[in-house]
Amino acid sequence: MFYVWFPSLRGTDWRIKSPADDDYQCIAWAAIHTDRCMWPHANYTWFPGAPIFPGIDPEAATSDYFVEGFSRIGYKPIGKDRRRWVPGFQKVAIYATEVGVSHMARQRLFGRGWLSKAGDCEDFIHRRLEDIEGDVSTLAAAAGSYGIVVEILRRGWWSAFKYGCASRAFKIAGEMREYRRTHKWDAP
Amino acid sequence: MISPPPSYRVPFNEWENPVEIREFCEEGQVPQTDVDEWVVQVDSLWFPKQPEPSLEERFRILAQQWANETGHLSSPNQKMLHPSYQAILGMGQEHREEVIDLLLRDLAENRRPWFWALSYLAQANPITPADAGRMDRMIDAWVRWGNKRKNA
Repeated sequence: MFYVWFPSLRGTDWRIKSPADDDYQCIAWAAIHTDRCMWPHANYTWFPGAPIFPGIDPEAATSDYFVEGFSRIGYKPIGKDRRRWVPGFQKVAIYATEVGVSHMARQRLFGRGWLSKAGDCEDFIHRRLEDIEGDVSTLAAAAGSYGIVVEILRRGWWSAFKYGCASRAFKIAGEMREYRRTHKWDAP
Repeated sequence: MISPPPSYRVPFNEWENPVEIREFCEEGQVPQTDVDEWVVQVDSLWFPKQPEPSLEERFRILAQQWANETGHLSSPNQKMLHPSYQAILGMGQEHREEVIDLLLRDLAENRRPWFWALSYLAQANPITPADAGRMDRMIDAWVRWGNKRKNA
């Protein structure tokens, strides 16, 4: 299914990193959580104090909510073109279509690709942000496109330690390595 | 096996071909009403009417399609835009109670996140801030709500 969802992945260097898990999705994975689903809405977990959509109906999720939310763990917006790895910094990218934010990806610690969690499915590593980009139209969004990168956020490694993200990342990486070692699972 | 009208009873394979039927009819030997009856019978033989899928069958097909095609999405807006989701919401307008039951059962059995559709159709939201974002607890909250609704 990955090539159906992300046609640009074909022929690139990518790989599945963990089994499917619906306990977390891409936004939580960008914030290094594997026990919750995050979205700026009352039905989801969100950063304490950061604004969320009013009311019960989901509205077009503009990237402002995500920039504001991720600022609570030290990230600052730097535009959409500064995608290269910079020593000492960690980056996350926000994807959006015409109907709002669709996805977030997190740069790996030493810049060797980006980490993405595909909704309820597996998380995977892809080399470039463009590898999972698609059409931005409403029709394409309804058909499952992630659209394009609209914003990149950056924080220093120190912030990652300060907000407890680094220790969580090492712990999760260890758990996933152990899971892969002890469980047989069919990578799609 | 379907039979032709009794007065013009012919072996089935002889009136299998519509061209032959037309030729036979054009000779004026057969009254129009009988011809119409033949056409209806031949149609029903060649194009047997499929039984209408039940509400549950329709729901299962749409739910599976929705899960297959939106499993990689995180955005609730995008998931809700999918035509299968919209079709299920449309079914809910006509058969509200039944669709709520189907959604609750599917939520419990297959863990498909129907939270928005349920909130919309039931005009309720049993998810407390403490449960928000935790899949197991959100499912439990809706299942409890469903049980209360049944017992009420």
